[in-house]
Amino acid sequence: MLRRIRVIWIAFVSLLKETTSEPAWFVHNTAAPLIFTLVALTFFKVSGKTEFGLYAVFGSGVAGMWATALFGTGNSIDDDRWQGTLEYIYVTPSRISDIIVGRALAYALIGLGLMFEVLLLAAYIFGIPLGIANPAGFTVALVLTVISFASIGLVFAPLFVLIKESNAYANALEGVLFAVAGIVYPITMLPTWVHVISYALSPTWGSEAIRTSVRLPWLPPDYFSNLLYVLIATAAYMAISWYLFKLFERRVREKGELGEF
Amino acid sequence: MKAIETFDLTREFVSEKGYLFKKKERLLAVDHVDFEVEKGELFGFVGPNGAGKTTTVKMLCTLLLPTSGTARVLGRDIVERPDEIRARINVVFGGERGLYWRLSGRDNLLYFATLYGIDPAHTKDRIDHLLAMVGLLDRADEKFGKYSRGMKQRLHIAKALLNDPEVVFMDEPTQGLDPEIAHELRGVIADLAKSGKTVFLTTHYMFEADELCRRVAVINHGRIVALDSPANLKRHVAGQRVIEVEFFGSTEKLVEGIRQIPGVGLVTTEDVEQRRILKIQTADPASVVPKLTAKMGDSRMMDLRIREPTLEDAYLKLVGAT
Repeated sequence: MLRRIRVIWIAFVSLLKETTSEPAWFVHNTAAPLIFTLVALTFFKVSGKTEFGLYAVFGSGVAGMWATALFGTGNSIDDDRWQGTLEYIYVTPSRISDIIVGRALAYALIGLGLMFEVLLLAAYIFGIPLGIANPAGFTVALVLTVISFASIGLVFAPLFVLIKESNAYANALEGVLFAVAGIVYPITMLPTWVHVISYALSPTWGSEAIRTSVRLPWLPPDYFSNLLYVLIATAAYMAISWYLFKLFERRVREKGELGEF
Repeated sequence: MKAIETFDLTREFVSEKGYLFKKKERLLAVDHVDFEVEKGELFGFVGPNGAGKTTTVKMLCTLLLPTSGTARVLGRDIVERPDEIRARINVVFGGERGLYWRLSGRDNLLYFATLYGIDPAHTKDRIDHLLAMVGLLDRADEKFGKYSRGMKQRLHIAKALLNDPEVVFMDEPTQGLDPEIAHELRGVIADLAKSGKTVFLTTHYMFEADELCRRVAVINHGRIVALDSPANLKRHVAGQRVIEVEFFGSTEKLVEGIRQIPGVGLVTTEDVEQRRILKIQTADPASVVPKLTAKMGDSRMMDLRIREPTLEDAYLKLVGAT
């Protein structure tokens, strides 16, 4: 077990080192949330609704976390293909799923950083007062939500290992999931039949818990039930991911395409 | 117990072509291959491009499943017990890729040391020792992407030794390297074998196999066509001499003409920058040379020499190169 934790840790640290060593990374990760925030706040200003501000600001932050945490792990596997490292890590005695978990946690941390960047932008550049009514409740909800995002990424990671073109599918899926999870607008605005999908996604519950902690100093039972749904969904995503990694292990060796890109 | 044993090892690749009407294409990359490698042996696996060398290595290092047959590495079945094999082997694929370009040399080794489960108490010493061994200790904190091609390949060797493997698979490790660096690397490979490790070396440089390997298997179209010591393989061209002609000009008609000369065996050509080199195997060079010079026509001959055959000449005869 200790050995597996070490693998998760080195994957976490190495990914942070790799990512932050690129000057382009800083540009990408400061510019993208700024644009998200700008678009969302423009909607907010023309809507004339006070509550929409919460969706706009936190939605922009969550959007940044979403894009980073959800498919960062998948993209890192794609990067492995390009660098020719996927075969080398596959023939080590460590499980590739442990490496992916370490990377997912690193992306979760980067995602959290983006959320705080958006909060600072909203407060100091757009002049929107962002009093967080319950900072402790906000922090817990935010951390659990970003971990949950990363765990959805883990569900897709085995596909990235198996299928070399999976990045194209993932890019399309990212938008679909983003649209139905009630991140920048309430899911009540969506057609009823879409709600089933929204409720299966942990960001729906996580975003709701974040907004509750921002609005109310005393956390209502809804906040805790939302977090419980986040935890249950996260555990389910991890179990699915573990199962898929097991299922695909033999298939990866049958196909033998790890070295191709 | 042998280091490596294969039993009818076979791998077929199936690919689909077309959009609406998909057509399956099958390629038999490795075709019922049987061989054994002793512990501590430096074993050569040679063949032309596409002969099945890399596919064989990938199966033996548990990256790829055979379609039929199997193999054992250190007594463990590659299909059933890959995890036990992975801890005791390591692999170097040729080329510059395979390590993280944005991480330093040291960080790359630290990452792989952890994946190989090296005891953290010994990791730093092990990494420093290996970096010193491949001459990269003073450049260890530079990014891998900034390394020269030779430095990258040396770091690959260091990575391959992190877990002190019993068997090291090296797939064309010197391909594309400068002659001086390739020579240096061959020294490192020879030292590995001297230290008791089993080295499975694929190459298409025959002089490299001749210099390093105790035994060499020649693979062509997925099948092993010969397996013996370099000295015994050279006997395939016993009694032959090789005429080498360096010239400028076109080759196609010339080669056809030379093949008609009585006593001429295998004829091959090689391009070296703008020059061409003809290699003609024959048992009777004295009678072939005058007829050969008469056939040269407009081609400008720069040099002609007669030499003893090498392992490369034996290999060319075995794989039927033209």
